Amino acid sequence: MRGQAAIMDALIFMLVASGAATLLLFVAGIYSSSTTTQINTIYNYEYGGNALIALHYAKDEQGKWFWNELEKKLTTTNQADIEAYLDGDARFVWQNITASSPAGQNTKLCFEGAGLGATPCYPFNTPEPVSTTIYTSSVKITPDINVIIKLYY
Amino acid sequence: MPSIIALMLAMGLFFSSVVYVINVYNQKIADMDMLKGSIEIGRAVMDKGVLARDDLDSNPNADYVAKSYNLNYDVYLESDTNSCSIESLRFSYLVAMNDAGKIELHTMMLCTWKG
Repeated sequence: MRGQAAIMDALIFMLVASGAATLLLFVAGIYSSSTTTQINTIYNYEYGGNALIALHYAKDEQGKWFWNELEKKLTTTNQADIEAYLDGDARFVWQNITASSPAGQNTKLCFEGAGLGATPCYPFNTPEPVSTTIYTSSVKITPDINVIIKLYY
Repeated sequence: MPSIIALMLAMGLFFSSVVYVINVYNQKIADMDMLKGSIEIGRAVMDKGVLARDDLDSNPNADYVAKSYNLNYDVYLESDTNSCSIESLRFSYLVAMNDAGKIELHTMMLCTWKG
């Protein structure tokens, strides 16, 4: 009987040790994942802010300041003209944004308050990406209009 | 005898998992530090609104940050022919580059690796 009890004790000990080991492995698996996500979040926000700063210094193919031209078009013209500008003289600006963006092609430039309707985000003809996480950075181009860079994940 | 084998199995399982977890912990701390350091270096390089060519080759603030994280780094424009080493972390930024009085928009690459 004593031998049987010792075996049972050992098996229970093994069960407890296995549980403890499983818990440790589980913790090791998830450890730091939330921190890494937070650090990546910082990178995305940094990118958005820096991109908007860089855009202030950008020029289009005509040698005109991109920000000034965009401001004029947002206040005086319609969506088609803005699209024509971003597809035309300023297309390399947009190419640089998507080339450097951590979200790549899932990057959009939105114009809030510009009266562009329900889809005020360039590229206008593409649907908004289905995404659970969106990082945004914005700046006022006029007192009424915000330019927002959105990164979809 | 069976109880001794069960005990030894349990001890072996437990302690090997402890050793494994310590290794994983250390590795993850190192990876997190590298990621955090890389972003800090990027922040130091991008401190100004407009970069000059010289900032790509030598940036005292970024050098200081890199040293404090024990990282090496390299910065270049994607239009240049340089490339990162295979094992480096890579980050890209949109930058306004003042090159001989002419400001242009570029994609800047930041590569970091352990020093």
